[in-house]
Amino acid sequence: MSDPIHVQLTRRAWLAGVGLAGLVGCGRNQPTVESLPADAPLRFPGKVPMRALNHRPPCLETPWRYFQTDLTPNEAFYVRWHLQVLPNPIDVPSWRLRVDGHVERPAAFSLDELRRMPAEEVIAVNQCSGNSRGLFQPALPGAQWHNGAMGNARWRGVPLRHLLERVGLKAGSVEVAFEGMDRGGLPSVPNFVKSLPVDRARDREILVAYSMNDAPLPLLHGFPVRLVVPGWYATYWVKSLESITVLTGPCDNFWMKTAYRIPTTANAVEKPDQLAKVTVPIHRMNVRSFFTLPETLSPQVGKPVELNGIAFDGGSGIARVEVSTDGGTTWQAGELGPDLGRFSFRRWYWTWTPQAVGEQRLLVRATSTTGETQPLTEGWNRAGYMRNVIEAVRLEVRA
Amino acid sequence: MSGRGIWLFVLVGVLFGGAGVLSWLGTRYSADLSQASAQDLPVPQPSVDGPIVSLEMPHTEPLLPPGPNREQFHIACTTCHSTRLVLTQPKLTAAQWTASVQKMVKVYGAPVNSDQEKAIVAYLLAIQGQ
Repeated sequence: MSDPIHVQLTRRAWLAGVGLAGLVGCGRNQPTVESLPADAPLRFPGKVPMRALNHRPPCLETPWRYFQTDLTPNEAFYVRWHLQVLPNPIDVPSWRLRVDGHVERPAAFSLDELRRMPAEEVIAVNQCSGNSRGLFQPALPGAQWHNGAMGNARWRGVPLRHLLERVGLKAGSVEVAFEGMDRGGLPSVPNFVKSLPVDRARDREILVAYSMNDAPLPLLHGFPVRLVVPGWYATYWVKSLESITVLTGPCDNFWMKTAYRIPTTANAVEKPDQLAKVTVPIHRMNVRSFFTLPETLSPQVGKPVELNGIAFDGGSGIARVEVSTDGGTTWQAGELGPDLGRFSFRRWYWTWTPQAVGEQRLLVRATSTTGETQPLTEGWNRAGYMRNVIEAVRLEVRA
Repeated sequence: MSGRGIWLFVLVGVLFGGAGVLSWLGTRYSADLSQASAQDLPVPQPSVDGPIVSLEMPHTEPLLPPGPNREQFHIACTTCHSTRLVLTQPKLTAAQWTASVQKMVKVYGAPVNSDQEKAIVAYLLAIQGQ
């Protein structure tokens, strides 16, 4: 009786073995992880495949085609964490946002309480201080971002000012510090704490946000709540907030006193052999503009083609965007798209009729409502912050 | 054909048929991926509605290239960040790598003494451009 069963099992085992051998064989011919470039796209939960500069902690860059829309979808929005132990998992019922320090009535709020408070919305660009660092010459250490460490989203949440009024600032308040829930790989790694001057913290556009593009804030973007500081670099937009502390003096931790500082020179420019002696915490974003052209664009000589892109600055708003086809000697004004607010990407359009066949180089330049514009040659600083050189695009014109 | 023979025939049919279906699904799936632009594919969003919100993070790391002091580098540096951060850096000078390693020690408390610091910088210089 045992023989037929034995035979059958053996056949099954043999078939399974053949199948397994096939799989292993196929695997041999596939590219392996170690054969890919180190920044090869990675897919995180809820995200499209994104260029990964680091994944522990995650630093993921938005693929350029996603800037063809005014709002950057959450699934393609860039990600940048500092400390590798992310708040994961988060126990929502026990989570509280503490607001204390130099205040009359220290308080702690649950996510439900925050969601029931009067809410406001703002469409604002979130851009990493080091966006485009990887394009600097000479090269700089640090996350090697191309231009995709930025995004534009509709943020919704409680105005920070409302929370500060609830707890009541005492006389002599100087700064407000914000601490995230992420932690370093060693206890000696300083927690991520950033601060704003108290007057800036009271500005009405600053939010403690729980919603991003009409969806609950994803964990990779700072669930349950993150700070939104429209017009200022993303280093202040602390993710997964756990405490807000009112201080009687400047916050002098590593993240404020040593990191994220810029020279006081115009546009934060210095020379490698002549570093600025005085530095201040980075703050307002400078003005930038970009082409966001479809990859399939194929301009033809003599045929008008509409080009477009985005522009933004630190909150004064975009006054004009111009394009040059002669290396910056002359500039032609483009048209501005819908105004989504002074902190948002502003779409621009310009119709081009190519005059010659072959490769053509186009430049784009934005000017803010305060008259600030972009330099034709790149300004350098030691940390690779605030790059805003005029961008160029090369297009092949066909006959 | 005996009873057992028929069952074997059916079993082989099911196995080959199943393999065929799987292979057909496989070609369909890869064909879909190649035709649609990534922008058009909806990405399911992990839920943040429940009491416990969590994500399963990808954790595959690029392997470190062979070189002198590779193990010392691995132990001292990858406690706090992935190998990817290091392997995506541009070509840097010995002075720049030394400054980076010293920052890790002074600011973040990386467990590295001065001998290990030199060994780690030597490894970083050796693997550049590989």
